[in-house]
Amino acid sequence: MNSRIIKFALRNVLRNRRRSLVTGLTVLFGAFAIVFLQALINGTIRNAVETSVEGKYGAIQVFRQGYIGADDPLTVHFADDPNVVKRILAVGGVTAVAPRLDFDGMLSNGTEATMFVATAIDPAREYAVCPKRLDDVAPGGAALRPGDMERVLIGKTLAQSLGSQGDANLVMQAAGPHASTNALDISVRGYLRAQHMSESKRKATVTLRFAQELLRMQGQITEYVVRVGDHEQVDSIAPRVQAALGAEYFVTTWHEVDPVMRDRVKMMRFIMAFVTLTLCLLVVSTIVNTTMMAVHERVREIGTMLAVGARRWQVASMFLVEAVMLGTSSAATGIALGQLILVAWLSRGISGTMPGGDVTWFYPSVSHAFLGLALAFAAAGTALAALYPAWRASRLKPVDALRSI
Amino acid sequence: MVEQESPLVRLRSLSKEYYLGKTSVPALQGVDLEIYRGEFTVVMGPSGSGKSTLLNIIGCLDNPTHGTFEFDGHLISERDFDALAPVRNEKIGFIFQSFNLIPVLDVLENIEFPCLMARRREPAHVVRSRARALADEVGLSSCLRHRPDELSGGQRQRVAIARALVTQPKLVLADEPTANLDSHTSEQIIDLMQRLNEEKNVTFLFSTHDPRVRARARRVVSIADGAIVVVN
Repeated sequence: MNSRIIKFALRNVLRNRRRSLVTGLTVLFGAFAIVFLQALINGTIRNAVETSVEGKYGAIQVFRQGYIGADDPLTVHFADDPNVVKRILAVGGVTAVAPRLDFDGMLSNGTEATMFVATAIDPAREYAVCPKRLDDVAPGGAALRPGDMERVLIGKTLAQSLGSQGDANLVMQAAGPHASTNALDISVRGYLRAQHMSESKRKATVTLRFAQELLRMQGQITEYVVRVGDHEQVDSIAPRVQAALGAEYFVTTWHEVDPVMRDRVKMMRFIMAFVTLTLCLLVVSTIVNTTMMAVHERVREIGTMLAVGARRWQVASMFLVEAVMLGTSSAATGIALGQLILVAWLSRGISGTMPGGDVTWFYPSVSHAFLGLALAFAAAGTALAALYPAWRASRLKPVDALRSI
Repeated sequence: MVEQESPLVRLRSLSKEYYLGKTSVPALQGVDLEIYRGEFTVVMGPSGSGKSTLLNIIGCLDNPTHGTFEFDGHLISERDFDALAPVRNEKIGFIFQSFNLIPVLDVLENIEFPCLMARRREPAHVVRSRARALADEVGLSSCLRHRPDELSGGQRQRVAIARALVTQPKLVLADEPTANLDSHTSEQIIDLMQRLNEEKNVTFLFSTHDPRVRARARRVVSIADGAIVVVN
């Protein structure tokens, strides 16, 4: 592009400063809002996914075939087998595997009893799959450690319902496979953080060794949880884990285990797409309007250009350059402003609380690729928006245009 | 010096009709005209007689409905608008009644503007030195960096004349160039164009009502109701 044409276009942009300013601010706001909202959505989704994947379910879960939907799931157990673990770890993208045993029962303080739903973990292996479990304990408590035996982490409301405070001693009672009931003493090591009330009222975490002794299921587990290097790849890794293990096992992902979270993520992405589209339409309509007005005001100039030998594409490209110049510079400023605020302020994190849950933090951010893409879209979008007015300008009849007042 | 051998412009049985709805309105009817190199010709006639239409067709801004139009030996009445852009850019210069300068460009840039639109771009410094020389020739060397709104009417028309000449065209068309100027400035502009005609052998074709322009013309074409009635 000839530097004199760029200079000419820049002067035309600055010709009506107020209108260019209003247009520029609209584009700036649109770009800023898209970056800012996308960062908020990204932070929220990442927090939600990480809480679900790295704090609860793992990215992939491996059950014995028939576990899901079984009347007595504990009967569909299987042995914690190092060979099975090796086969899972051999699948590309898998980084860690840990065994679990899920069960439920009654927790009693001697006078009162209440129901719980527990996950038994092996502290030596669990945190490699779900590292967020280490932070899943309210201040004053501590995560379960290898060597812990008769220790439990429970929801705060569950503890309060049993009048438990601090390192209280309780009795955990549960039925193993085929309804054989057992009870063991256990002490509270801490309170679990909860995202919502039902977790606070029912949730408990014990060590795998303790659960196997309570349920009389030595060496047995109900599932493996699997960590993957990239959450986005989970849907392609899960079938390969299934293929590695064969039909004896049933492999699923957090999408299926936590459909509420999956749908929430989908909904947030849909809302963001809708908001982005709305903002894009606002920007496009502003550019169309501004370029139309510029064409309308400069009809005689267009006639003069054509008279001195400009070809129609040159007239059209002049208006396109002006629109892209204004749109891209404004969008770049909006994107930079959004990123600046994200880096300077929001990278410290935003706290949020679900009803009945504990405070959770999320960190809004957007990738550099997204910023580049946003800028490229802004340039392409403004060019597209200016296309019709520019085309109209180029189609003016010079004789009529020169007669214009 | 007028060269009589081959006409620069040759019109044969040229007609132009406009349509108001379905009604045909003739603007030019059977015009035969030849303009030779180095001429200083004026087209005169009352308003609506077809002067501007004639200049628009000769300037390749409009197409005739019937007849043929040759420019510099080439038949161009059949060519489309974009195909004629190089002809308008390289061979024809325009001077308008309302000057038609680009308001965001200064004097030098306005003079250079046709070169910016050229198919074959010349080096910027070549264009710049030619523009400076033309500005000097039309008496604008003291206000090269002024924008059009900082110039008088006469100065603006001088810029328009320099712009018309910057591509070294074979023909300069001037549509009522003195209509928006006072009498003193009009005289100066006419003097300037006549000097350029005599010294540089630039061919000028005017449309005008101004008797002073007519008085200077070496040839007058009178037009009425779209037809040429007298050629002096």
